[in-house]
Amino acid sequence: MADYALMNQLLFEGKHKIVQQMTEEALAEGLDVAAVLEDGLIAGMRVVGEDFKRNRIFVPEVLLAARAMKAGMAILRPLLTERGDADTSETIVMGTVKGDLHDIGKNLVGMMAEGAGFTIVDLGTDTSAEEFIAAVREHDAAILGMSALLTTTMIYMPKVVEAVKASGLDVKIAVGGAPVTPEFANEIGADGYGADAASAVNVFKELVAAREASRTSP
Amino acid sequence: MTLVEAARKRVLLGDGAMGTELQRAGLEPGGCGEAWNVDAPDKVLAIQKRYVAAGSDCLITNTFGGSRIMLERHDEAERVFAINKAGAEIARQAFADRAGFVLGDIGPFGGLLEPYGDISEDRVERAFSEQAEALVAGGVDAILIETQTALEELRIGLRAAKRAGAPCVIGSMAFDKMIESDEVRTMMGISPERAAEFMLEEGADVLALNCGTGVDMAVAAATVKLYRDVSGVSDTPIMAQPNAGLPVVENMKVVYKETPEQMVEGVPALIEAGASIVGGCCGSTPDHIRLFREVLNAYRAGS
Repeated sequence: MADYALMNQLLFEGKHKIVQQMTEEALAEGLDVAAVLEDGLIAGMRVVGEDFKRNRIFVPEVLLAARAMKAGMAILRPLLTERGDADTSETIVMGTVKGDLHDIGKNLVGMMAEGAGFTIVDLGTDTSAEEFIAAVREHDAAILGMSALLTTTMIYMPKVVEAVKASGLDVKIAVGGAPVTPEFANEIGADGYGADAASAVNVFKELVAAREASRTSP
Repeated sequence: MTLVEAARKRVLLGDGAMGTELQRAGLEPGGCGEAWNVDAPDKVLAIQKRYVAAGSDCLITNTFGGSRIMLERHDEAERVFAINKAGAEIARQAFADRAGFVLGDIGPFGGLLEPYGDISEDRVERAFSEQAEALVAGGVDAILIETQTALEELRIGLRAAKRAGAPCVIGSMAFDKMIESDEVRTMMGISPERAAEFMLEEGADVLALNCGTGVDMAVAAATVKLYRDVSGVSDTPIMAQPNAGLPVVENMKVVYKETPEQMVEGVPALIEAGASIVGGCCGSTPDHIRLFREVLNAYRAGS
């Protein structure tokens, strides 16, 4: 039997080769791809996220764990795609806003969100409102995530929010970055704010649920 | 007198923020402020003159993002030497006939080193060496490796500065306050004690801290104390440049709510904790520095 607890622990420690090997072994034992993903990988990343949020671990540990997650995903993704499962995961379009070239935080959020099962479309840095909107449309994204490190570039966020609202797209907007505050997110009309990468993933989940609810209600 | 000798004799006053002042002078958000050292030197000079008039003993050059790796993002990499050398010369010019120390600024290269990121140590080493050489050519009194969060990058910067012949080398860390305690760590998890030990091992002449989330004057003072506990016997000067509080948005403009009056209240505690070079980071202005000067003068008269 696959030892998911051990797999989670090794993922937490960033042992990417062993995590990949254990992923292969779990599949060879005939375990379900979705179960290996959820119990073997995502569950481990959840602990990473929680510990990061509580300052028990820091960026290096998260990056190493994310690499282990990726190593496992490399085995699972082709099988998920084959089954059509990949299409059921929600897509997040994310980028650092126009004028801002910083991407460490945004990349971290992307990795954590990927680790939680989201599909990420990363537009990189210096992203304009037009680029965000075009990508949301192309990928039918549920969430648009914006990041800024500078106080001087975060004021581009309301421009994106306005443009998205004007476009009529059914997409939730989440914002984050060092100078961004919940008050600012609220003031500019964003749907969610994440203080750190782990919180961002929780916000994404809430936003997906809220979007589903608003779609099913008459 | 060298910077270290001066800092052992009395508390030196640094300067305030550069980026926000450049924007006030017309730099577009996200624009390459360092390029102004060559394209609009008068505007940079005017800002630094205001800091000198406010009483700064030390000016930090407008070269925070002046490494090749940063300038490449603005398609300015070809001018890396000119931009940095000019930055040093402008700061010197701002002091005019007054004595003062020019601190050549090297900020982070803006990414993550291998194995966490995809930038090799070699590439960062070349970029920092090149920047340090240009700053030394421009006549700096010290090189400040600033807003650092990882010891590996800090080491590359400190060594590059020394190799370039900088008369004095300063390592400055950016700490964030932890969520569930009053402790601080860098983004990469480095504690002040570890940073201080490391910088002393690497031969830094001044231990510094700047910027950081949630690091107000009180947290900065507590961090200085931790540096002092490590560096105590070595008598290595400590420099502190806290932010002017946290940024908030009013009418779609970002403002720092900590007034010069509020911020300056924390200065005596910073000095008592062991800081002997004091300045301001994000959000601080010539008005902050002017009040800092008054407090420092009063403090010296009283002690």
